Amino acid sequence: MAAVEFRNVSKRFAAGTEAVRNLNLAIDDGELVVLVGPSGCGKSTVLRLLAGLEEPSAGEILLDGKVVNRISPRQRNIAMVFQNYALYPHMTVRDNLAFPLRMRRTPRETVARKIADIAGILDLRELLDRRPGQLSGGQKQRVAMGRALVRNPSVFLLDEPLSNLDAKLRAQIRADISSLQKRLARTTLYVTHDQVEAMTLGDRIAVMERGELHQVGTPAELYRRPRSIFVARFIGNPGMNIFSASVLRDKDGTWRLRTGNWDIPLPPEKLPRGGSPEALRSIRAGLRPESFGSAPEEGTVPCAVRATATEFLGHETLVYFHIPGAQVATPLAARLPGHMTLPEPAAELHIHPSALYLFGGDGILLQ
Amino acid sequence: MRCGNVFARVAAYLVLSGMALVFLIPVAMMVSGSLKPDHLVLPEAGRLANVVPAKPTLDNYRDVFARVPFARYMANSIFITGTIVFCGLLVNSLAGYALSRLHWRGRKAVLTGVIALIILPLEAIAVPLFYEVTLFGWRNTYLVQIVPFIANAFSVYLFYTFFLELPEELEEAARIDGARPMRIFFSIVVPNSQPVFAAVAILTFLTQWGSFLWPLMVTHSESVRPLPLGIALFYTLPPLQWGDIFAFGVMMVLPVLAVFLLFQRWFVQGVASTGMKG
Repeated sequence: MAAVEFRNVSKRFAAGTEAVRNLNLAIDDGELVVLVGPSGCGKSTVLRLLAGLEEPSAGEILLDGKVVNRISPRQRNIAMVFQNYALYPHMTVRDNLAFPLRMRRTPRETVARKIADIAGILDLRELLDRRPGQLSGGQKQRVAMGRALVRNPSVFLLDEPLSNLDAKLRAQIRADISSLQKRLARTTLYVTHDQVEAMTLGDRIAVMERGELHQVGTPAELYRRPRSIFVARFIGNPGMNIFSASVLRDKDGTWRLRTGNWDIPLPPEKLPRGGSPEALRSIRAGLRPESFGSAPEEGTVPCAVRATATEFLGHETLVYFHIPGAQVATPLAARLPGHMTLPEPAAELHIHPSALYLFGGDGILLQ
Repeated sequence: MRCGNVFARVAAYLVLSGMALVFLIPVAMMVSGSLKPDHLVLPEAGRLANVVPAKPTLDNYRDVFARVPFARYMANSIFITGTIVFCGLLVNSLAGYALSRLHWRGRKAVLTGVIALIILPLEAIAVPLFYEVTLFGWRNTYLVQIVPFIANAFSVYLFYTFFLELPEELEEAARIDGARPMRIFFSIVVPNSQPVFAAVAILTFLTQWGSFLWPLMVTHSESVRPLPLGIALFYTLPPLQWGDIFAFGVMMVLPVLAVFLLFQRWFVQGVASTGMKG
């Protein structure tokens, strides 16, 4: 096992595109970090840099404190599961599993023993003599995991390993990966664009956009305290509602958030320290869909909404709405328990002011 | 509508059958002529009714072996063509791989050069090449018939286009698994490129098997000459016996047929996947 560190790592490709910009990220020994972001954000490049398939244009990559920038993939003892599995189509499952061991001149008896072990762990015994073309998506996925794990790598890389599977299988294999990681405690970097995978698997999550790292933290930290609008929207399903608003001071000294016909008193701890009142006149506010209630509770503020659609999901209902009088192009979403029907488009939802997030014009959290 | 369809279908089959006959008749006449007594070969050559010999005989085949060193020609052709095919597959596939996968300075210029060389016929460079091999002292050897034809721009280009389509992740997975470049090429790339290897093998074999001009220029003894020069010998060896020429032709074509039948499954795939047209 090994600790991994990226120090000021950048990657520019020959065409001039900068896929990764000044990345600083440390992964502890045995930790599972999920790199998440939309497609094209540079997350797969980070994985390829660590695997040694790409060389950084600047900065240093460290494995157990040793700079590995110029060390070839074969000498890094890193294993990788590719998005399309990259199983060798002309070899049987047994030969696929044996290939990395043979490349390291492992004695034949040891190869046979290790294949038997990994086949036991991943339930591959029945498949050993088949070729990849004869396997289902889930089976291929397990073989790819097996090929990565069989040689005891110090770091384990997974590049969107579930994206080619159907939803049911994805949930099952996600659980398998999670329990396998807990059992084997390998340093793991897992790349995905799916925030559900990130939230359920990661010890920590690193959110990337356009080659830059926005925030690193535990799933709870990212959910409760997103540093930017991008993270706020990316984490959560649906993501956080973001809308333009003004923060104004009343004559009695209380601060209020106004947008359309909403007028919400702001608790003092929500106000940014040292911000000028002018800057607060035009901000972006955020509310998680889970923060709305259909009935008043202690401390909640009623807000009129113009509902446009509802989606019943069984245990809850998603209500899409506009704020009357506010100019918001896309509707906001509220997540309400049970089966809600909105008999009339005009309705009232209740929010707790402490659930509000305030972001500056640059999209960064103000508090 | 339906009538029209049937008519179009019948017309298409008629045209295709006619074309097939145009290609098949000379082959049928060659085989039939090789089995007829020599005095009947020319008089019956133009008549379809006489395609099947009335009294088949193997005399012409016996004649071939008696009049020219056929076994020697055959052995020479197999050795020369086989060596060119084997070495050509190795050299041209490695060149195609380097062009499609490795990143090196001047790669694009070399690729442009390779594509430009495809259109250059042997006849255009035959004389300078002749001076070169004379300088090396290679005339009248196997070497002179093999070395200039191992590297082939068209083969390099076929390999290059095929390797471009091969998923790069396979090679990256092998790199991470600990394989070195040569190992990746032979253990991962080659086994997954059978169609293009078969296509290049067949095309090289066909071209070299029928090679006539170059061996005629650079060889003068029967000990190193290939089959096409052997068949040409019959035209200068009196008396002119067409039956012998046809028998020689049949025996010369058989190995080509065997090679094609052996590789045809991959050849069809290869032609389809390299985007190459026959």
